[in-house]
Amino acid sequence: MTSAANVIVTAISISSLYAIIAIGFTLIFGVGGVLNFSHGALITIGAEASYLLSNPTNLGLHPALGLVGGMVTAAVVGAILYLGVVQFVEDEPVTLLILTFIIGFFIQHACRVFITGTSDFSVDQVTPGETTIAGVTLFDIDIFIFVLAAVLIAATGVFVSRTKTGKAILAVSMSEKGAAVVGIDARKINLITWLLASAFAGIAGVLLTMKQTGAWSMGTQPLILAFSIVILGGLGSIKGSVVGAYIIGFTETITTSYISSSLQGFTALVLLIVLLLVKPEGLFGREAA
Amino acid sequence: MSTDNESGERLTPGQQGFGPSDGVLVANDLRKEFGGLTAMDDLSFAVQEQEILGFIGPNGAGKSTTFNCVTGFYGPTGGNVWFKGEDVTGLESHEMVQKGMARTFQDFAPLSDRTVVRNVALSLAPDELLTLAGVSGETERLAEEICRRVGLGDQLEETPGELPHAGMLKLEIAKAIATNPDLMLVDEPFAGLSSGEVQELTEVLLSLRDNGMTLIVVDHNMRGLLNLIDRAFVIQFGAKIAEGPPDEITDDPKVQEAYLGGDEI
Amino acid sequence: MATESDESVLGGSTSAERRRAVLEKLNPLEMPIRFQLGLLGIVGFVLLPTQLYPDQMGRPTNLLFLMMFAMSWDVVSGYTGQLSFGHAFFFAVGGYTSAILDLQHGITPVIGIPVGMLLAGVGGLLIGIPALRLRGPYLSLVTLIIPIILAKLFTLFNNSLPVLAPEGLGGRNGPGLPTQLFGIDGSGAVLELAEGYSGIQQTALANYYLALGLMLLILVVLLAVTRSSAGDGFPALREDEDAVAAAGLDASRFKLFAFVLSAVVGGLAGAVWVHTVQTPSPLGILGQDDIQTSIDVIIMSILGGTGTIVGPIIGAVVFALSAVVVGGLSDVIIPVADVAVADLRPLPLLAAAMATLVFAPGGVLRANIRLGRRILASARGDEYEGEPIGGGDSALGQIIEKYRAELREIIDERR
Repeated sequence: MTSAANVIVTAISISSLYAIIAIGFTLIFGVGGVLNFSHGALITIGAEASYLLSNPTNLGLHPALGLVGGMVTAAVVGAILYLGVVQFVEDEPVTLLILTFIIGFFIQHACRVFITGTSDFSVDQVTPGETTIAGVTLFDIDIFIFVLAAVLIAATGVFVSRTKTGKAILAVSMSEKGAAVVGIDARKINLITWLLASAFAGIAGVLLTMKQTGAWSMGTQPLILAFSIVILGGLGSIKGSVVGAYIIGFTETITTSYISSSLQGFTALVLLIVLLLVKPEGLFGREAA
Repeated sequence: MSTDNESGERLTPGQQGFGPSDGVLVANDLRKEFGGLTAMDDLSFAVQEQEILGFIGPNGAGKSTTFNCVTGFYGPTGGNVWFKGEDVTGLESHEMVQKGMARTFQDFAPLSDRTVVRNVALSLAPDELLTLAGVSGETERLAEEICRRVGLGDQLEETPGELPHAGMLKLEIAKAIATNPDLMLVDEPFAGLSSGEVQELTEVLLSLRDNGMTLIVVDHNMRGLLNLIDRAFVIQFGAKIAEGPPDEITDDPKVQEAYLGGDEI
Repeated sequence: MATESDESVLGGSTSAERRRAVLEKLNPLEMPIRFQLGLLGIVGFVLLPTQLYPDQMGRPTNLLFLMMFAMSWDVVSGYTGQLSFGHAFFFAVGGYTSAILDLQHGITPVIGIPVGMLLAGVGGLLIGIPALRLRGPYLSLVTLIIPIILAKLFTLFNNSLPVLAPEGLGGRNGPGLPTQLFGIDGSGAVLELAEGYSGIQQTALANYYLALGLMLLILVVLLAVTRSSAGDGFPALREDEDAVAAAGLDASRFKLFAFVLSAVVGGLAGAVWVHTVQTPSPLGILGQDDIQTSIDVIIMSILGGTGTIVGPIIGAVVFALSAVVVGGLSDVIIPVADVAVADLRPLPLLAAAMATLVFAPGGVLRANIRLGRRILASARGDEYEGEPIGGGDSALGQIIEKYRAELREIIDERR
């Protein structure tokens, strides 16, 4: 079943997911200057929440509710993280870096200990089944993922350029002092950013689980990939995140489909190392070394 | 008062510009561009041995850039620097120090994790990875001596955070002296000093010169400088606008114009 | 010329005088209390096996290796402020090299271990030269990823790596169990000890004391380096590289030296590890998700106190003790969640690390030294003023300051 068409479809689907994750990550960095190492754990949280809500052995609610629930839970946890920890340590980027790192581990291990243990878990797909377009059979879930991601990306673009809050976010990401001068409350903006980014991570977690399966440590791999993506695209650039996500998503899929499936993450990582050593500012960023 | 010294004579470049033997430190056609901005515009000067040269200009004139290019903290875009006859253009800063050119930092760069005397001791450390130097305490003794020389004898065991402004400046100078330089570049030392402290600093610098050192003192404020320097070199917008003994400079109309509306002369 | 020779500047200190000074510093009776306590601790470790059965020796032996790993991290990250997030890479290079040389090329560990150590050093050089040019957070990112790439390479060359590892690197399972350094009669170990149970006892002891000796050797070497005048420059690098350059010292060379030294130490420890108590495999050496070991090492150093070499040792002990203590609470069940406390691992440790970061960034060692000094001072009737201790009052705080400046630059430029 690994025809070229299928590979492309999978690549698009995966890239879309990565794009959602990367946008959240890069927003947090662009706005607050925080390298949020716990972003992966938020992905897991979304997945675990949807498991608790919609898996038949638990509450058995409709998968769509699980999706929403996952998004909301992740957003809430993200907000708690910001309000409870990050905002107090914002001026100490390195303490924060190590802290978010450790918190991320803490959350994932807590999920392991208290919720799903070490085994994989799954949730029903919100759009199960297949569709055939132009002779190619696609999984409906992949179509759903692509559409949803496209909607979210477009919505983000509109939000950031048209709405007052969105423009405020852009302003703070450009200059916190400048934004303060025109009366923008950076803390509020940061909170909103974290809410948004975490919600995105949560959605990604649920979708990933629907498409494949979930596990307590599922957030680690996407986090590292998100790093590659945002560095490739340029830290803080939304456009860069989307472009980077597709580049990495396609490279990944092609490698795992045609070379070896155990190489998942490999090319992205090698690419990241090369980038960091050669052009750390990425495609749309600036000087980094 | 500066000593009457033949280095008050103006040195003019020959037809091909300055060359390595024109002084202990010679810069010829130094150029530094940052993107589209020219910070140093074909600057040339020569410093004679045991001279005290004042490098003067309003803020933004390019003094720090020149300073940093000469001492190896930036690489120049064009031009040459010779030190004691040797071409040192583009060498790294620590290599310059090893060749005998020391500098102080305008915004003071003490190491806050150690005492005054140990700050100076770092400058005495050999640039070697594996060494037992300093184990028996001779480095510390020497560092103490240098501290006393600049007037920090009573503050040896204090940390930089506990020093007053003038003390930090003395520490900067002590650290530079400890590298055993032949030439020292002092960056904006007179800012924030009381007139008594200015006097004290002037005496220290003069005594350094009397013991063989050559000095370049950079400042935007001529007040403190005039009693110290033998010769002044005035720049603006990255280029020289005047050069000569202090009393001539203050009368120079171009110099007065450069300072109009800005710092007092 | 400036620093061309010590003699002209320092005049007259002979090597005989220096030798005498060094020896004076080593006299136990003259040492400060904290050193004396350390010596007591070492004595404790020497005597520990007398209290344990052979099958209980595994944990303490492993602890000694953890100490070595933590020290190797501290000399570069704690001291010079270059935060390495993937230090297990060097342990793996050392261990795998020695194991594969043994299993697939028939080279005895006695030679394989030094080779593994050297190769780890080469790895340090190859990574350090380009990576140390990067600003702090980017260096950390590079170091985070490298062990993961290594693990992928193990899988990629699962069955065969031409010339170097004809039978492959073993993927997720590892290349197999290499020749052990010590073993019972007939086990094929490098040094066969007695038969049967006696042999088992002796093997356990031999492994333990070898590890202890190695740990002490590493401790001495690293202390010598960091307390030397070259080592004086390390913490300066953490704070202000320009100041270091202005002192006539080549900052890049010192940074690289620290990096390679830490790689060599880590590689040596890793190589001995696989021939004594650890089977080489990605999970065994790199840990969960290929990063756990690297993180554990960082946590240990944070707990104990970065930038001290000795702090990580204490942190490792805390780390191991917490595992034992929490692990022993398998009967204590948390009500609603229905989970035994023992199964909470590693949550309590992570929580402790977080608390340390927030409340006591200097780590346990410094906090206790300060406490001890306060006690002594009040015993003498003095006021304690809190002078800087050797490496300054918070190495972690300084690393933080430096990163803060660098991160600010990155952030500001990107804006």
